[in-house]
Amino acid sequence: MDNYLISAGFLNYNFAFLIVFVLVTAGISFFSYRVNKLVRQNQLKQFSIAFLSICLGYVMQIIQLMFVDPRMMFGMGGMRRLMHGMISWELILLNAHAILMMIGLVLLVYTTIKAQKPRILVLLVLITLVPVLFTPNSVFTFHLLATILTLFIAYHYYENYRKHKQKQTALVFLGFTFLFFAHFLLVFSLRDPLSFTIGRTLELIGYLLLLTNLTLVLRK
Amino acid sequence: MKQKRERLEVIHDILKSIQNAKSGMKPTHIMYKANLSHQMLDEYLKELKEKEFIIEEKNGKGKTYSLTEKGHKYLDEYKLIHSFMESFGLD
Repeated sequence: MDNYLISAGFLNYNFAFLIVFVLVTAGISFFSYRVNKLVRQNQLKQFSIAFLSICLGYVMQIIQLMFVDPRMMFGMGGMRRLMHGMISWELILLNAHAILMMIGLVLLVYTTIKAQKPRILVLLVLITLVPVLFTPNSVFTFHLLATILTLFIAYHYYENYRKHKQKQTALVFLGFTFLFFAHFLLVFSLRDPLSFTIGRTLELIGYLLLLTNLTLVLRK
Repeated sequence: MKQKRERLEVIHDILKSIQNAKSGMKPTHIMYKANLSHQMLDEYLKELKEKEFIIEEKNGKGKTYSLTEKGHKYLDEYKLIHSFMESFGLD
């Protein structure tokens, strides 16, 4: 699996952004779990697991940056030089990131289409994971598929916004729209460090919009 | 024209009407207060019993329903639940 091309000046920002992504996705997952404890609805349970999976996907990237990536500025990346065979760890963590993110996004799509048929979920997981794991250009394939999935999710939230024209539904729609553009730009991040920087920044804006919505919900 | 009530709103209306009654509430009164058909009321009451929001009691005059602690908690947190689920398109 290839790795992203990140400009040196953006490495530490990337790390900070990932921490924000983990906190926001964990927050949404936890709150969804809390609401599900009261309402007990399959859709909520799936939504909570989806964000948990995305959260763990970002945790994998943080672990990779902290312990494996030699480009990290604050020292821990240097462990790679000390530990023999770390390249395979990089591969494992990149794959784990892609698998967890893909499962999370597929679950979100499954939740939005309200299919309630586990066979459809299994099919969706298989047709997205197999190309990611078995193509030589996995990062490219992962972001290409993630672009399609987030486009689908963003459209669902556009419909939801049309149904309930409120500030909060607009925030969620915009949040996922930014995530869609982020994944689209990250498709090119293997060759162009600027795509990575802009993609990650759009991703940050997307998650901050989702966080704003969550904050507004909690204020009620 | 007013939009069709959402599921969460119907559950809220049923629980609120039960909460307002001093002792347990009869199903016909719930049906009237929550503005539901007989069939819909049966379905919702079944669901609310399964989710432990209400308890059913039988006495000489028939069935009555009262709120459980979980039912009270749902009413307390309704705005929050509704807002979360609506914004994320989960209902």
